[in-house]
Amino acid sequence: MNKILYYIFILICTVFASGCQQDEILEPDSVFTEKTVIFANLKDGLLFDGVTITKTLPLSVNYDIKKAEITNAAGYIKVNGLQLIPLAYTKDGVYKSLHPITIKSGNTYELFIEIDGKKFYATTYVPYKPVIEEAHLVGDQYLNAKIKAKSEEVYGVAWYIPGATINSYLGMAQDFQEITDPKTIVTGEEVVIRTIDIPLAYRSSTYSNLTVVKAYAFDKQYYDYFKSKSNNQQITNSYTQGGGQTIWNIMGTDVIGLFIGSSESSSVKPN
Amino acid sequence: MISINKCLISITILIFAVLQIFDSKAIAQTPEFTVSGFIRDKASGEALPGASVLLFKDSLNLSKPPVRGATSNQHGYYGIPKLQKQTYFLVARSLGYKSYTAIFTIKDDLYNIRFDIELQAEDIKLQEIIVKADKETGNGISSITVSPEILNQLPSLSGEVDLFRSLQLLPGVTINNELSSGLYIRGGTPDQNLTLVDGVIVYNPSHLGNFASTFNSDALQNVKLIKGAFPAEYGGRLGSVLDVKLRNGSKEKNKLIFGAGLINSHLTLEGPLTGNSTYMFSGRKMYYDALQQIIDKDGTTPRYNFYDMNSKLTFYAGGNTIISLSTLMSSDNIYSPTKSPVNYDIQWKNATVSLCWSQILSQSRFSNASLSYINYKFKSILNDTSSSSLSSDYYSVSELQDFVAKEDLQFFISENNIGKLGFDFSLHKYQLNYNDVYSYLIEYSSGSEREVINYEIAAFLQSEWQITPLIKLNSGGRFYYFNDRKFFEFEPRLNASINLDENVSIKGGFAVANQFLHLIIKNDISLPTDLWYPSKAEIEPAHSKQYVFGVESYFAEREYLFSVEGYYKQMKNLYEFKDNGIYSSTSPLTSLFTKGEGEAYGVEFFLNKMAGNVSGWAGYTLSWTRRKFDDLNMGKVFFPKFDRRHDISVILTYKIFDNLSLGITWIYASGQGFTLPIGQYRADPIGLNPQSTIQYDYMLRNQYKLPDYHKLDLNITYKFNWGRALIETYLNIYNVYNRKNAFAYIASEDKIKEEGNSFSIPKFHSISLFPFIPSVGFNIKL
Repeated sequence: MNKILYYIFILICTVFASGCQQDEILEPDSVFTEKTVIFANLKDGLLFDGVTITKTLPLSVNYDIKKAEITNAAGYIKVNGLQLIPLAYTKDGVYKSLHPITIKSGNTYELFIEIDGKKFYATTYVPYKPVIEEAHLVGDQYLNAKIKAKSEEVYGVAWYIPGATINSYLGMAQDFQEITDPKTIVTGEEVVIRTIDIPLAYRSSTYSNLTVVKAYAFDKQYYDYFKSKSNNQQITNSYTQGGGQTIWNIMGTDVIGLFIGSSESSSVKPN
Repeated sequence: MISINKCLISITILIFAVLQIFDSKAIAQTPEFTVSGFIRDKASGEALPGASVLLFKDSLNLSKPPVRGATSNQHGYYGIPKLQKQTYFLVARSLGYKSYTAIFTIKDDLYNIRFDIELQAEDIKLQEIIVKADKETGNGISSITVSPEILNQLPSLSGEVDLFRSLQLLPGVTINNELSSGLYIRGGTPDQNLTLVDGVIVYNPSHLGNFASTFNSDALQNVKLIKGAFPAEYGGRLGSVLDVKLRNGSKEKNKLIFGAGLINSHLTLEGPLTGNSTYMFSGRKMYYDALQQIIDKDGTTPRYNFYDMNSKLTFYAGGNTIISLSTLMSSDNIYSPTKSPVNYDIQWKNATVSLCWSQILSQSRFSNASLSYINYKFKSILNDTSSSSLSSDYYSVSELQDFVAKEDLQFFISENNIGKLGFDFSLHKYQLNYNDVYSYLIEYSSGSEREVINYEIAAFLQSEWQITPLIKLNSGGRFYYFNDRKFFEFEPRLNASINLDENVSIKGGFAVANQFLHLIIKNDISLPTDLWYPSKAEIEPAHSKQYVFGVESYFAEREYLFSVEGYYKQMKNLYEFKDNGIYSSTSPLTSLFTKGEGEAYGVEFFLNKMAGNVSGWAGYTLSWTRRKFDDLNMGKVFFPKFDRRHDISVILTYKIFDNLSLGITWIYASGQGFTLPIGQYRADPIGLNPQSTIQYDYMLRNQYKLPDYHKLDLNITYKFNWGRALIETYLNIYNVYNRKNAFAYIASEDKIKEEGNSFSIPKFHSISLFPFIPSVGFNIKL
């Protein structure tokens, strides 16, 4: 009897000890799905700097552009349904036009890509430079800017504190507070958009006198991307999930990416 | 067209209820002879809700159907109006009590007969009914009454039996995960469940993981769970009702129950204060964190402790009035161990005080009035100490204070019709403090607090009508007014049952409900982060419609009950946190919310063995729960974390000898949904500050399923007398086969060297909370 009790005691202790630290490991590759990744930002007034075409890699490997780049894509860009611009591979997954082209506001650009028989398509409109009609500081916390809107565009505004040299900044907004909802925009109507909060460090009069605001216009497809763009972040702590899927505008099977037109205003000092 | 139809249905149901209550016959002829009174425990004087009283003519022949019958209400009060001048044979019965019989004769000069009944407890001899279904209690569809007796035979984590654990074993009640609290009933979240303790709302009635509720089972008198299509007397929540009544305390003598276990101890005291008043106090303390500190010092599992206290003073003023003062306090704390990579500290506290006044106005009218103060506070601190710029800090404190005045009136209109009429006034005060960064200074900063004060008024009218001996109808409506949105709505409620024969009945129900208080869920955090938020101008009240249909049948000489119930629930104006809301101290918190809708449907199978040496039940639920929000999951429909396709529970109790019993529970549920990355890519984000970074490509929300949840628990109880004391010793084994039930995957980075380069890859570890835990302890009853 004592022996039986001894064995029961040992069994209980063993199970108890094994249960103290609960840990099972999931191999991330077991859920890997390869997707094609296509990105291009068409900025009004600037030279077209190419379309990046790569593929996703499993989480278990170190990201290496040589493993991710796709070199055998064929494709072209069509401007306003008329002009065709063939794309040629350069390096690191980037495909460029054979001759430099300048992106123009008001134009519509379509992207046609084919990789191993799989076809991908996207279209975008390049907005006109937004004009800030009025801007003012609210308290010392953030800025509001008034813009005359167009229904095919969405807008965001950002604060900047210029530095001593051109195109340098002492401080700048890290993101937009909001992007206007395309469903609420009517062409010709004014919209008021706010910046993200100015950090405490930049709220003294020294900085507030220097602070300027700039408006950005995007093709309205940018709105959905903006709403969901943080979904694809890495997990940074144990009890947080990284999110869900981001909303993209490239059409095709197993593809993610964004092909979007944008423009920006000049800097305006608030009233 | 739809709104016209809805309006017509609502008006029809209300007119029907009004006609039933004020039918001309009832008004014209007040009941000539009524017998009524309280049914109480003979020894303790405790009221016995749900006890049945049957009247027979001529002789006490139980094989013949009674001429009339009634069931006692939540206060133990019963009434049988419209009796004839003659002699009646009365039988009163309640679970765990000897049947009571009496003879009385109605004479000319005695119109209203007060007939209080005292039942004597008997030792339950394996013939107990474990979970009383609808037919046994006269409850409507989806309604189950749980006997506190069964709780004593079920295994538990802490060694102490608990109500919530037994409720989770019923079909339709889902286990979310070990790190959640509250009941998930028929696709609803815990906030959609109305929990009433002695008529007072308790916002968060459970401790973590539902292994304990905030009321000690020693203090329970009666528990009723209505899973859906609840009657008009209940309101303010979308989905379900848990109506708990606490004991008043014994009139007989002072009693003590004390129990001590490895991780939990409890104490209950009760007795008479004076000749006409009693007291009851029950308290409990759980110290699992102290045990964790010893057995799992370097582990990363969350640390946890709680305490709760219930008390009640009852004053019996004459034969017709009972006044009681009840209090409830509870506090839970879950916090990070020293070696946790993330600092967190989560606390929730309940406090309620209630003054209740129950009175027999006349033999056919019973009134219950109450004044209550409720305070609920939930604080979450999640302090991400990682160096990443993508901090996952979260800080929220929501404190709710309610002042509630209620008056309910129950009246017996005719022999087959009980009317109920009620009025509620609730003043709500909410204080919220929220931030997406945490510093201890925030806790003391008043600038970020938001305060909302509003009130709601509700009135209901309800009729319980036994149309024929085979058909019963409960119809009524509830009127709601909520001041902040000038919201006024009528909620029709209807449920009916038809007995096809002595053993088979079919039932159906329909209910519309609104809810003004939202529990805003943060989906991307695995820890509990409750944020209660009231409806306001920009936040609409949640709205639901429920349809229920079922069949139940007794067989094998009523030893077994089998029931099948199907349900469909539609929900609108649900709110959750957006995935990517950008917090600003100058923007309303509501800018971080997204509005959506949901639906839930399923079928529940329930087999209950109600008598014999081995008793227990088995339940199976096949269900679907869906949600759709504009700003979640790309606006596509998704299954929330608590969606469970299959849910099985098996409960067996076996009384080996009179003093030795065994309880076994086994639970199985489909795995919880989880969102995992499925690949990585490098891209230049388009917008401000485009810097090329590695990003993850994720699957759709909750598309990945964690491994299925299942575990076996076991309890052995041995009782013996030692002097005047009854000693109960127990051995509990929680999670007998040490199943590692994951509630989340956490990411860590593994350093890998490849071709001379060092890099990190993410690795996902499952975490679970409760492993194999044996515990021993004892209870002393004096």
